[in-house]
Amino acid sequence: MPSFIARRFLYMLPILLVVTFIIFLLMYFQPGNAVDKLCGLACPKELRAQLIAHYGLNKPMLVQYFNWLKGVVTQLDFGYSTSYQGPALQALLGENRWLYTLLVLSASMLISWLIAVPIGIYSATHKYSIADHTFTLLGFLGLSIPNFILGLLFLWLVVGVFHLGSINHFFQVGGFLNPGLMGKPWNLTVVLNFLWHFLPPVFIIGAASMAAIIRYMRGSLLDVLGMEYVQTARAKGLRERVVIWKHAVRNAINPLISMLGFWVPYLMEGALIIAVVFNLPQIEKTFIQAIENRDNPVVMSGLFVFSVILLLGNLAADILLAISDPKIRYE
Amino acid sequence: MNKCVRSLMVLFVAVGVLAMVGTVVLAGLPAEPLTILNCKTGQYDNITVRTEPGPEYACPTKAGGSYTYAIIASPSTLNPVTASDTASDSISDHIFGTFYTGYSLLGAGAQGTDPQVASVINVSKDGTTVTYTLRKGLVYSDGSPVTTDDILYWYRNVVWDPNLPNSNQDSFTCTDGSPFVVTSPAANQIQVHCPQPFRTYTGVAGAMYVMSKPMALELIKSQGIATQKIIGPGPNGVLDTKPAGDDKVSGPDIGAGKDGTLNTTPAGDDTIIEVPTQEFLGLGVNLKQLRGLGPFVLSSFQSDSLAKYARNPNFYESDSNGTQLPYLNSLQIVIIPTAGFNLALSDFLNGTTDEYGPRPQDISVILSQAAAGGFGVNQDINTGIANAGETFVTPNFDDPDPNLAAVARNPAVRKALFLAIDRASLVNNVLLGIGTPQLNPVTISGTSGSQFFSGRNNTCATFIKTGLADASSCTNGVWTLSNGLPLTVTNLPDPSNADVAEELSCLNDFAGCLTKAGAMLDAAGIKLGADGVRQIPANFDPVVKNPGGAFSVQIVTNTGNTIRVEMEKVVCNGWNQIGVKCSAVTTSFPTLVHQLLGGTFTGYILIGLTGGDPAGAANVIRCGTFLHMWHVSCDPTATSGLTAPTADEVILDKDFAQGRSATDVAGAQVGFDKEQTDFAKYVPYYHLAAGNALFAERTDRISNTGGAINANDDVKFRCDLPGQQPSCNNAPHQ
Repeated sequence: MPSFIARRFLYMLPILLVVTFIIFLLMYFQPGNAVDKLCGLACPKELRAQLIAHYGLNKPMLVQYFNWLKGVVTQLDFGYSTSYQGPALQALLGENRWLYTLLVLSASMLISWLIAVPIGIYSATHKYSIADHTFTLLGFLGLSIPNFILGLLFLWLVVGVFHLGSINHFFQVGGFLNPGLMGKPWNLTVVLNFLWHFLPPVFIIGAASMAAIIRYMRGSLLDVLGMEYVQTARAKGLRERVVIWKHAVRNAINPLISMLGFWVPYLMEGALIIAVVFNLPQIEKTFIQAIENRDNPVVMSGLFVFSVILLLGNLAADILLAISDPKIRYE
Repeated sequence: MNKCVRSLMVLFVAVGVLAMVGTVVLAGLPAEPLTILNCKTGQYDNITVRTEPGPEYACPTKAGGSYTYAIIASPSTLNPVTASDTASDSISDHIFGTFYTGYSLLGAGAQGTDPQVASVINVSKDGTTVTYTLRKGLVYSDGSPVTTDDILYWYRNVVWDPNLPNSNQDSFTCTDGSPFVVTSPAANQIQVHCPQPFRTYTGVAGAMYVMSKPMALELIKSQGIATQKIIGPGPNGVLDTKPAGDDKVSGPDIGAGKDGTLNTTPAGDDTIIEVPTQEFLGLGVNLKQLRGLGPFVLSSFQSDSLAKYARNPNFYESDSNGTQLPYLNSLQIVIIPTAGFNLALSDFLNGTTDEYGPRPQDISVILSQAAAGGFGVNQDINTGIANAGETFVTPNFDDPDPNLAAVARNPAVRKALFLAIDRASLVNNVLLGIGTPQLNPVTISGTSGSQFFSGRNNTCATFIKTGLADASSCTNGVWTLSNGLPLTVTNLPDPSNADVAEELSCLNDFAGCLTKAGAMLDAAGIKLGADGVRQIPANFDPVVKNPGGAFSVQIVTNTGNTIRVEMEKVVCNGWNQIGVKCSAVTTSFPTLVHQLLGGTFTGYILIGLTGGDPAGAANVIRCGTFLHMWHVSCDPTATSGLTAPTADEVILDKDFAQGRSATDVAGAQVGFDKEQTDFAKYVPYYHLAAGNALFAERTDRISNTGGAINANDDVKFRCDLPGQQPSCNNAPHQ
């Protein structure tokens, strides 16, 4: 297994290299550059020339790319953020944004799987029951309602209908903590307040993937339950629980695990909008702002970080698949 | 003899010891106290000009609590010198003290000076020299002492740093165009000199920054920022050196020219000074390195979501009960850069924030939710006073699209586009009637700048005489438009001027103005094409030498400001009707500001500027200044080409100079009245409408406020209510 992981990890490097080149090209061919942003149209020619030379923007494209790549590889230097006025990677990940993003994404994924897989199994084993129909309906609703609508709906209920924050200041919304509790030492109130702020976006981001997983799990398990080896297991007199969980589910879940890597971009896409709706200090919101600000180094850092997360998601999926299905091995 | 010598020595030693002890004792004394708020009268002591807070204020008997408000744009810097947007000011004001209000550090108000950081302010008899004596024992938030060297450093090395273009360079300039001469005649004194006095001189001079020099040097060093050598004035404050080679004079300094090398050698008492080559007080600085004289210190900061402040333990102000200000223990600013107004409203309704500057459509929501949700809110959300400042659409003489640059430079086209904006609709439909059409940059009546508004003497009679109104539509100073919108005539410019009257007529007859605007474009040669879009002829402007093409523009404003987004649509609607193809888009606020200040943008920008005394527009109206947004490349010394000021810019410069250089209000009125009528003639940019100042506040939580939003004046005197209600219920807003 370690050699499998190492090989799989090595496969990521050329992909990342290609990704960096594509990212660079995307930004290179955009109109304007960092000096336009720093200095403006009224910039004295001498100062503009100095800044262009300072940032190496007068060099050939490939030289600029390799200089940028060298900075990325050797010092994790993605360039200078003109909006943040500091290193681009720091602008993107700093102020604990990386931690919040990681927390939200992993919690969304974990919760959606923990809830969706048992429901999918239940739906498959209770085909066409009222519960199955209900879950199917909820699944379609979850898939078809954009998560920002769910976010706004949540805000409307909390603020406009139940006036929770006005009744008790604890139930304020937006951010990961009530502003007044920011910076205070962790205690029960702070933890509960964090959960009050943290769980709604996590559930909302996870809602779409939760619905999809329910549908996939149900379909996959129904396919497997119709197979002969399941009938054989039943014919052998095994208990239904063993047939379902040991023989059917283990095989039915493999396609889902292989799709795990593909859920990551969906989750990130959801988090992108929810970070705005709930004003969450995540890298997704900074990324959106960097696009609006034409802060190219931060956009490039963001694209790179998202690519890495996607590749790591795929790696994790492959590893899990290798664990759950002994047949799958890269040679 | 020996005895005599011994006695003298003993005497010297004794005097020396006493002097040393005295020095130590004096140095150990707390800062010379500044009692700023008289708790008995509710008035501010030591302050010559102040209109609020009024007598309804009384000091709370307890201090403490926290306070939260939201801003709907992200800041772009923590440096108050380089900040050119209100979002950045909102964050840095609380740390470094407020720059632009009447409560600034040296005690500056546009109309006078108040003792603040300076305890004594002397103005010379001829009015050309102002001397500030700093308060004794003044320290920054980290306890380090304030020196005059700090003020000189920030003036010479930061404000005039050629690498950090900023608006203050335009403000700290005398009426003859020369930079303020700033010197330190004594260890605790700062002197500012101009060859001529002008009406707002003492106020502007008093707005000098008092920020820590060691902090700046530490920030520059810790971030590895390169410095550049320039030659600056020495102790006499005047540049004695003449530039050599291709070096050039910039403000009070001499810097390197095209060759990038400083060829000049300092003469007289001039010295070589080092200035940073880039911003050193940006958003990513280490907060522990910050120190200031403001009432708070920034304790945590997420530039796109939250700024949290703690009390500055060394803040130098107190109330007459002896309670050190600020009353609040902490302050939070929720930053909502993208969702803007909508999320800010939600935050207010749900109790996350204590105050909110609502849109007109939010008023009924807030009042009804307050009634349903059981929270308290002031009932006078609409203050009835127009917001100071301007909201406008600006063209771009430097537009990269030569066709758009060509039409932007043409006064007849600008006038046509101006007439094709339905301001009555803007007020009625976007501001829901809570506002006034705005036609020029001088702050409209009802605000501090009202004495300069050209329509200050308007009556219904003057409107009836010009034919704009009749006796039935204008009574008791209120002109009711055909769409039912009532307008106070003193909030409108003087209709006796033909150009102004033409603009005013559009409020009542917009259809007629559309026809006029179309005819003006026809007359200019910009005719309708077969597709219904007007075509700009080739070489429409001989300087630009444009190739010709469709008259198609986009207007951009900032995301999240839904009022401006709606205004864009109304403007585009009018322009589309006269065959100018117009689309409305949005971008982030920092990008918008950057574009406004000279980014390579094409089309038109809809944005606002803060306002007050029209003399404060020294950084806007004059060619070559920082916020001269419609012609950023304008160079007052150029006589030909794209950078040369156009004929109308020269006229407006002259009008403004006359208003600014006057030494009394009457003299200033003459210049600014002329400026307003010339704005109606040449319309360099298009004013839209001014909404009333709206202010919503949770009265169940905070009650001793004055209504101003985001100003230190206000925040310093607040305290939180939970558990302390009896001490804070001296409420003006019940």
